[in-house]
Amino acid sequence: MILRLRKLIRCRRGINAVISNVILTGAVIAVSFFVWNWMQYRASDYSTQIGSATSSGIDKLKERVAFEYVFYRTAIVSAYIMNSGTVDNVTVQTVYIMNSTGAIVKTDTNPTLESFSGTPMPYQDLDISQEGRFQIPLGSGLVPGSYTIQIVTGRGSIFVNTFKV
Amino acid sequence: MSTRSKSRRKLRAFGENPRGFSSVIGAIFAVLIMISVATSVFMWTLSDNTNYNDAARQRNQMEADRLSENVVAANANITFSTNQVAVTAELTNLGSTTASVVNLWVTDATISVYNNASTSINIVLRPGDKTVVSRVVNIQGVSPLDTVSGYFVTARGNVVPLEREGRITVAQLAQGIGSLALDFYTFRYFTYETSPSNKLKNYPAGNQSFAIPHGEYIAFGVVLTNLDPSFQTVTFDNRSQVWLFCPEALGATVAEPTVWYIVKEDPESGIIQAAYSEISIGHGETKLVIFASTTVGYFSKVSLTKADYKNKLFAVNLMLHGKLGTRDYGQNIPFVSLYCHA
Repeated sequence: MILRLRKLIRCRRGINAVISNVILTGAVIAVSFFVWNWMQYRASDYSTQIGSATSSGIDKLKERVAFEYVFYRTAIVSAYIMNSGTVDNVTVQTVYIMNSTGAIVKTDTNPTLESFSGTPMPYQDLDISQEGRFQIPLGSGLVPGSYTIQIVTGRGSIFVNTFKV
Repeated sequence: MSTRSKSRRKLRAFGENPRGFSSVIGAIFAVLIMISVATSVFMWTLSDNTNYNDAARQRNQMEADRLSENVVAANANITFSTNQVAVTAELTNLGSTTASVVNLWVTDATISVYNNASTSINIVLRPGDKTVVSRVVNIQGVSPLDTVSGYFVTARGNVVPLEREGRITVAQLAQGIGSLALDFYTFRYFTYETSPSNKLKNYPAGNQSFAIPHGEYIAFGVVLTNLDPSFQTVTFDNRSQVWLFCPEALGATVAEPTVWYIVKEDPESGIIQAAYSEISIGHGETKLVIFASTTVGYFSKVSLTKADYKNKLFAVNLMLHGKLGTRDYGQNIPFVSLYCHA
């Protein structure tokens, strides 16, 4: 092997081919590492997105809101709710009030969440087992009958309760 | 030629002429990259899928627990005081899971007022556990004759209704003393307008007092509620009356009229009709009934005129007679005392 190398250095025949091969191989290795890193980054990004979506879905699954009391008086619907699920930070995004035929009587977004004593909740959300209430002013009175109140949470869960006027 | 020597020759040939070596290196890297990325993505997906399945399983378990929760609030007793309702109930967990009771709601359907227990309830009931719970709920303006109901709320969001409500409790009491209940606090008397002379003054409010004037024509108004346990309508005949008895004036009494027979008035104007026509009270209904006449079936005014009655105390008895459904009915209700001032 040493003899061969000495012979190669002495003769210098085919050195171009060797150098070109070394350069080409080096370039391929460099590009390969770059592509590897880029793919790792993309895969990690994708995993993070999937993880976030899954985590959001899991929280949505764990979310549950119980209606303790829904009361109508003088064109105001008061709903007393409790976070009976196993996840914190439940928010009330939208409230729909529908009559017995399913027609929407009133829609309200981001109603003010209060404690049962009437104090606004500091973060406008309910932690596990926490109780709260919100009031929906209707503008005009409801005719006697059966109505449905539907709340959509910040995570997109829907909870429904029926009340009588 | 053996396979081993063939491979050795090929390797030697590749060493003497290494064209395409970079392609081999590139291919190896490409395969490594693919395996690495695919593995990491697969592992992530598997992990997230496991987490999601776990959450779904927990959710299903939670729903199953909620549906299997079975708490009963039996022997509920509701008692009333000023602006307050006291609820006592025996809570029993008949379900297979541990239950936690977190709140109590009470509704007065008569005056449409509701409230919940101001102090938080946190009662944990293991399967089979039984405990008696007493809580006071503030209900502004509540009356013992109102229809009051309530329910407990569990931490899982289930509602446990009280199995007996205030009206029924009163009705059971009524079963012992009669089907009609007198609202003691709203007992009132009326005087008359000068014109027309048969019109009750300040009708229907009258004078809610336990002191009556001497020597003035008066009528009495009592608020009666039909709490008959058999849900029958009660009808009064013309002999129903209020009569007053004054123990301090015994011996001095001669022919002083102390009886006020039932009359029928116009509910709009408060004018008393000349002849009595039957008055009925349906089950659960509350009605103001007027007693004003010295004559059975016809209206003629009554007053306490005898001097011996001044500044004396009278026992009042309400004697009711008529029909309960189709059966004869009679009830005597005491409890009110009146002071006759000069």
